[in-house]
Amino acid sequence: MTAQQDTLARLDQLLMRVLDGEATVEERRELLSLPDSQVQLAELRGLSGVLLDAVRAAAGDTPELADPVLQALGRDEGWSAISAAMRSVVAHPVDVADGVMAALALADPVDAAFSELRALAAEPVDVTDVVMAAILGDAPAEAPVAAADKLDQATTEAWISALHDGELPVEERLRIAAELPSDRAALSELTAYAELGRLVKTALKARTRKADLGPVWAAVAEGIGLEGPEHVPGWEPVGAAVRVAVAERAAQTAGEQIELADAVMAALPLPRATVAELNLDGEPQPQSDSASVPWWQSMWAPAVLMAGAALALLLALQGGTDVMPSPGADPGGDRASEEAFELASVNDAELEEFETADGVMLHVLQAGDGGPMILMLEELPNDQQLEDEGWDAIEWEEI
Amino acid sequence: MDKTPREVDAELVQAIRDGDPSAYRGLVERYQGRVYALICGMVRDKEEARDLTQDAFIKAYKNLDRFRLESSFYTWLYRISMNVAIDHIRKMKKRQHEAFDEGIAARDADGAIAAAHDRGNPDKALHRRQLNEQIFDALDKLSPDHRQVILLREVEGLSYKEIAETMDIAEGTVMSRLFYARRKLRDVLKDLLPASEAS
Repeated sequence: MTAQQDTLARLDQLLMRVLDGEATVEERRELLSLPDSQVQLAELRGLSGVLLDAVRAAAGDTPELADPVLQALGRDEGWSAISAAMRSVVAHPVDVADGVMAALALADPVDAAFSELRALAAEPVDVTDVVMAAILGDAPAEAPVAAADKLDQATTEAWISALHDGELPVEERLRIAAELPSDRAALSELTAYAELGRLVKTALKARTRKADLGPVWAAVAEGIGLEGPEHVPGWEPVGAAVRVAVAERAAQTAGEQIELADAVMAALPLPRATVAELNLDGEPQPQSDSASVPWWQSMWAPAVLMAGAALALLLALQGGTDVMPSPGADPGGDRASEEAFELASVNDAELEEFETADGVMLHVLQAGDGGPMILMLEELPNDQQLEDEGWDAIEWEEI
Repeated sequence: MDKTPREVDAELVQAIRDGDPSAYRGLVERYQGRVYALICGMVRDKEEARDLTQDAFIKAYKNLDRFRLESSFYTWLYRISMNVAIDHIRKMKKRQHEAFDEGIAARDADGAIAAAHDRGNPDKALHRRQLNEQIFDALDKLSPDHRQVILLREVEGLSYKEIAETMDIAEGTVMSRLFYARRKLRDVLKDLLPASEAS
């Protein structure tokens, strides 16, 4: 490696450190002094004038904004040396734009001026790139690609990076692809780039996955002057006309309003399951006068209704209407009921085991095949209670 | 025939220009997730990222008359979003220099100190979180322009041409910046990457 190549490599290294904001004062001084050690770079020292013109051009219609930039550049005594360094690496595969940025970042007032430019210019202005274009002059930004014959380590890596992105010209892609299988270092680079991309994407995805962006539009709507996030300009006259039409339509007779309400209710797709005309076979019949209704009989209808409704929400089993008396229950009883059940909803459930105590009757009811099934539990009185309440003793048959 | 995303964007922009600002909601809801992700990669803090996402959309709306319909809306929007993020970073950096030694500790959005050196924790979720913090630490070490180009490429999957349009730079510069950004990331994250044959 020649002395000049050593210098350029060191320049590259220093520029990267400056760019990353990690350069020490000594390194900055070294950066400034390096170009002076190369006679070949002397011709480039007048480049600051080009840079000043570029900044002035970037400021465009707001020349007063350019002043702090120009002043800052003028104050930076090392600027010509820095720009020379930038220019020197154009022939070498070093990112000129980033080098310029690094140089500009040396002077805080420049940074502040750029922020000011950005903030005040409606269209984001990137002064750096205008400066870079001025520096490059006849040397296009694609210079590294055009200089394929002068590949060094960094250039090769840059090409591999572009190859990984599928952005190389076809002929170059083919050429590199032919060489890749035998170039383990390049293959390793490709793998590293792919892994880097995956890591970055995964990390960002994890960070943003649960983000609640619901409030964004509300804030933007407020920021752009809308009356509210749901406000639709121009809708108000239409909405007013609709309100008037509805109000006129609503001015009906009481009968018409009821009809309208009925029609609306009928149109609503509410889930309904109806069990009607249940024939409850196997119920014991009371022998006494209905005027002296025992306590449990008076409770029977509401209790069965409540139990049935609750169980219907839990059970939906297949099978026909049936009655399953538990041990001790009378299967020969005869009682009909006109009770009808209206269920608001039915949930699917599966019953694997069901046991009842002695003296409890299980009623299994179903309105047609596939209809909702109702299981009712009824606690039966013993013989003494029946007699006390005026019922005749019944012979219970064990099943 | 279905419209292309670009045609839909153009229609929404035209609707806004024709006097219906509520049409902007379509553009916001279409791109807020992607803009948020990009800004989140730039500024790291989730709440800040959301605020900046809002700012970016507001700024884009106020400059919508400068948008050329023949261009793609999202690259234009990304450029504004990135500039909003970069301006924010610069402001924050100045504040940090005044009040905070950022070398002491990296804090996540919840305020917890990221234990970036606590490797080998058996808990997978914790390990993954630490790994992600390392990635963000590495991104933080990139200059804003390098971070920007990495995010546009790796997260948004933009082509060099689209990145060039978004950042208003030459395609060759995109290639160059991507290379440098990757080299830097590779150096910082070398422990997480397959061993390089070259090194």
